[in-house]
Amino acid sequence: MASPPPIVEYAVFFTLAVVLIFLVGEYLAWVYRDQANSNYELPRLLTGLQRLDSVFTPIENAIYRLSGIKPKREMTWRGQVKAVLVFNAFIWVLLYVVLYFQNVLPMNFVASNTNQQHYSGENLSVFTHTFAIGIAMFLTPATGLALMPAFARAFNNDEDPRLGNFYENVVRGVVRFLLPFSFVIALVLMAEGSVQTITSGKLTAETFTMGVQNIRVGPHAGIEAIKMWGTNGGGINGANASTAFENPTPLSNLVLTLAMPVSTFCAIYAWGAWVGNRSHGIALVAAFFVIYAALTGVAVIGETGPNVAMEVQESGLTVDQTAGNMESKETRFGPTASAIWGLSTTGTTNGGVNSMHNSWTALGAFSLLFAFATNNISNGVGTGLLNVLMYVILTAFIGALMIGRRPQYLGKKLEWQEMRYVFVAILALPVLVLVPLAHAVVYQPATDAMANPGFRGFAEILYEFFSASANNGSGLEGLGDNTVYYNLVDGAQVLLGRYVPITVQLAIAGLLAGKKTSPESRGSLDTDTPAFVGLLIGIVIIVSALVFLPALVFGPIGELLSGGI
Amino acid sequence: MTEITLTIDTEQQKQAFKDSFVKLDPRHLVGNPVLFVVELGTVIGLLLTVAPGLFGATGSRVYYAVITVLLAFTVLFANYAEAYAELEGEAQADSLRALQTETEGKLLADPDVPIEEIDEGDVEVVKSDRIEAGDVVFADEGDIIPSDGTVIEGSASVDESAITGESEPVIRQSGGDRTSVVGGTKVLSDRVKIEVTSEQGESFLDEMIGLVENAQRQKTPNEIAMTILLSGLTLVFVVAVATMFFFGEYLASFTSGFSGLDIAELVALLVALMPTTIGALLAAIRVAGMTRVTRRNVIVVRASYQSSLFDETTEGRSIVDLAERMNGTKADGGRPGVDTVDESENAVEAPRDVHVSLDAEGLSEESFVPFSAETRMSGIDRSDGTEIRKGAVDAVEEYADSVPGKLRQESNEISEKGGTPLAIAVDKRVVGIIELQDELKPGIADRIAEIQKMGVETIMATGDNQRTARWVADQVGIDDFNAEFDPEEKIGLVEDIQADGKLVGMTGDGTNDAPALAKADVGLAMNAGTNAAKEAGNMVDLDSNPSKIIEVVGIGKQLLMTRGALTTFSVANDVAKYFVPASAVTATLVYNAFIIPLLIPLALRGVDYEAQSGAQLLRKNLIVYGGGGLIAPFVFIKVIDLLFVALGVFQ
Repeated sequence: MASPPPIVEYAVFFTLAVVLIFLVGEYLAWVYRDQANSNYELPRLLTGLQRLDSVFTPIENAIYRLSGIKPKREMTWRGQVKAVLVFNAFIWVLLYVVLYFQNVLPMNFVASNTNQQHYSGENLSVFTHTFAIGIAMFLTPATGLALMPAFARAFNNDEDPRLGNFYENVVRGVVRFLLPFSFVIALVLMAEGSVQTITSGKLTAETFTMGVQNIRVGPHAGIEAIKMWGTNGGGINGANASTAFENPTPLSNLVLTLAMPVSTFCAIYAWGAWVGNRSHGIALVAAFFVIYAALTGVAVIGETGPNVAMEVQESGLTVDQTAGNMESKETRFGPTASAIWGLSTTGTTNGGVNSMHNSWTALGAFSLLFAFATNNISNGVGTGLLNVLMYVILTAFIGALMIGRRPQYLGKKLEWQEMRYVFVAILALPVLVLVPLAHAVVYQPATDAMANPGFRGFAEILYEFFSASANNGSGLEGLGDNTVYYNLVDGAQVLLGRYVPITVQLAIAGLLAGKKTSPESRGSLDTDTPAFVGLLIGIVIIVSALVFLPALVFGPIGELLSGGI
Repeated sequence: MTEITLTIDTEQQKQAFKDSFVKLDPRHLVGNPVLFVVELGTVIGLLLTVAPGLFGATGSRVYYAVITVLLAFTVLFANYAEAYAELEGEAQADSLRALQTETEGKLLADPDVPIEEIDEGDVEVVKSDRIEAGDVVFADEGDIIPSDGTVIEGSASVDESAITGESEPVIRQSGGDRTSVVGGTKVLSDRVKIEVTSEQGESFLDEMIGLVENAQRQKTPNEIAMTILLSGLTLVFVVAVATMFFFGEYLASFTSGFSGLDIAELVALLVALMPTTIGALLAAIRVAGMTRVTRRNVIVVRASYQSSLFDETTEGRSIVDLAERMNGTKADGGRPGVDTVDESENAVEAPRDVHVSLDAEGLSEESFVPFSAETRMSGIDRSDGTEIRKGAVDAVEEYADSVPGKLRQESNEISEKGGTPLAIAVDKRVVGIIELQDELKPGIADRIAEIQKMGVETIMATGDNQRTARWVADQVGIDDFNAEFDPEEKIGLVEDIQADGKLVGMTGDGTNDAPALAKADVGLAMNAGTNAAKEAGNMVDLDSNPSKIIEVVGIGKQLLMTRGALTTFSVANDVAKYFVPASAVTATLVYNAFIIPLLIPLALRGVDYEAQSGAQLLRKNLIVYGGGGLIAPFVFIKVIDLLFVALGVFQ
């Protein structure tokens, strides 16, 4: 079957994404309307959703009773931080115990929603996948989800430091957001032919060479669904979403690709609804969507073009590259869908892959890394919104100064205390990526792990560290990263890259929640104008992405300019 | 509005140059992280110039020397900007200090001696520094008033030009709202008894001098936040550039003919990327902003409040009490009412000048019955026993025995048209009505429109009656008005608005405004007003112009806008600097250093501010300073580089 032209695939994908972001965004806003202390009301079109309360509320109440959660018990920001750490430690212990008894290297970071696998999924049993990884894949994005309403309270509270109950938010996130959507996605996958079983551990196939191959099968569809919807990444098979068990058809590919931006951008849209200014939410979505769509465009151009390394002519044979760079890509998807997937995975903190990123062209690899440099554009479920808001607060600060106003965002005065934490959050990524990178490239045991020395090898380590620090979890691959060095460095990056920003972001929420709300007035900075969107994009590019430009020069840009070393 | 113009002479220029070097002291620079890092870079450059082999560098000594000099210039220019702004402020402080020359005051031994009977025997001439708060001094024609105080007896015309720059003399008299006098001003005619209200060293002049000098030391909260922001950006680039060194080592490991990145060039890149432009001008913007306010003859009185004031004034939604003064002078509408009595017209028109007109009538001062808040009437008792009274219609009605039936109707008609009706009674018989027509200050409606465009809500609170207040509010376009307000209601109004989370700015001059002025977030008192009001407010306008609050808000906005615009410019410059070829390092540093002195005038003057909506303003400034910041370095660096090529230097 011939693929449609790239421009059509591209346009259809982004149009679908926009519609879904709106619908899911409204739904998510509804889920946390009370927890965010908002005056949210469903648009008339969607008021039918209210009936879902009668389905979800009994389930949630049962969970509260069983687990002893008291949703009425409010927490301050310190209480929230403590709850996040306790909860995540619990997930970690759960994973550790299950994995330990599996006799596998216990180096595993799923607890921080990174799912950076230095193992291949095949090493884990079906039991592990179902009860350890599967549960963790729900609970860790729920951690991120639970933080959003707490942050919204910072702006909806008037001199009230209470940020709601973390555990209540987790339960609501799982029951109303993660479970229903991943269930639907899993159904689609199964309908398309994906495997879903917990009884059989392997599939035996006879290969062309008459050998016998044992292929790990398990609850593919279910794991795949939550892995994509919860920006988790990873998978039962090491080859991930490029295998037919996980991602059998172009349609399943489309659904899975859409899951990535929709599950993260919908939170940014919902933000506007929570703080009572939908057009502000739209403006934020627009700013980050522009970056995402533009970089995806670059990737599509890169991947539909020829692969320089294949332009060899030996004994009169040439490689026909009219279809684009097909090296390590699935013919089911082709270069365009693979490029869109690639940017969707680094444009969120997803980490699932459907093609081998190390086989991408220099231009494609550049766009992947540039997306990382903007801190994964829309980042992860929940935490993504918080990270995005760090740039928004910085933009509001500078924007207010530009029009001669005392800096405030959504009615809350911005002072040095908050700006200090905003910078800690923004600085976390460059410090965590660049400082270890500077060490790794001049450290023999680290460089030995490269598959391709030179510019591409540099990019391999850069990608690896980005992936760990920004909680993405995918790999450019090629890097033999299951060594003590990389496990230690990445482990530290994963932990710091997740919990440092969360802590300071909650601190900001605590500071702002305690402040008086001053209403917006005629002269206030409008946070929904094209000028604001422009300033926001500029700040994201300059403050975040340009910081990594020198590093990119030594990686993909160098490779591009030198014609590929 | 008057501006005290200052010129900085060559002597002061020299001083500013000298100060630029004194400020190189790291203990001073550490307060400004951006400049501190540049200074560290300069030291590294210097070390390389002395010993080029250090850190495995391979460049020539001359090249490193050039880089070192350019980095040093960057710091020096920044220091110069700050020193220049400080000197400008000091020049202003000096010109004020000149007014503080030793004066002599006439201390009254017995404060109760009637003012007409004071002669040389009653006064003791003392140096002004011996006069304390609570003393009563006497000031005759031609005397300099020794200290700030309140007129307790008599009235005089006073020349306040030394402080306000206004050449027109002003009347200061006991009772009413024009009682306060300022030390250093001169009595032109008549004589007054003054109760001194401030200790030596606490007078307005001292406040003003202190303000200018304080501005040089104290950072405002917003500036602290700015420093955090700039430190954050600096740190980001330090990480980005420092790690480049190691990336260079890696590149060298597989690239022949490349032996790693040059330390001096990395330092140069770091300095180019850091927000040096705004970092260098931050202090100058603050000092210049403060100087601009004092130049507009507005004094910030409460020192403790001063630092945050500028941030506060920029918040919209203030109420402006433009009550009485906005009405301007009340002129006689000349509309004869029922049975007008000729002679009383002059007498009642302006009670404050009353003795002048009464002299012409051949009346003695005793026969004048002053206005009081209790009777709300004033008048004359003639020697033949005739009682003439003028006052608010209801007050005169109460006082009079005989009231014509159509008086009410007439007075209502006048009120509706915005006039103020005054009834006249002769021997307790109402004989007529006078219409005082409010004459609005020209341009006041424009000023109100301007402040509204800034996002400020305007509310008038006045003791005038409902009708007059509505008429005035309609005429000038005030958002809301409150008529027949007493002091308690004014406080209540301020508190109500604050409870909504808004900030309140207020202007007022009367004693009855004082409590509300104290309550307001920004209280601008009129210098001509009472001392009570001046003490309650946190700023005093020496020109006594209530619409000055618009300028105060404007200056605060300008201050923030200048910071914002230069930050945007500075950060936008980075985009271009990333794409500068390695051969143009020198040109980049030249641009980076010399853009600072080029922008000093902008920092001192402030970004042009025109009241317009936030969205328009953001778009405009984004295009000018953001867009300009993107393009300027490309153009300048290219030109400088071409120039160097043409001259054959630094290649």
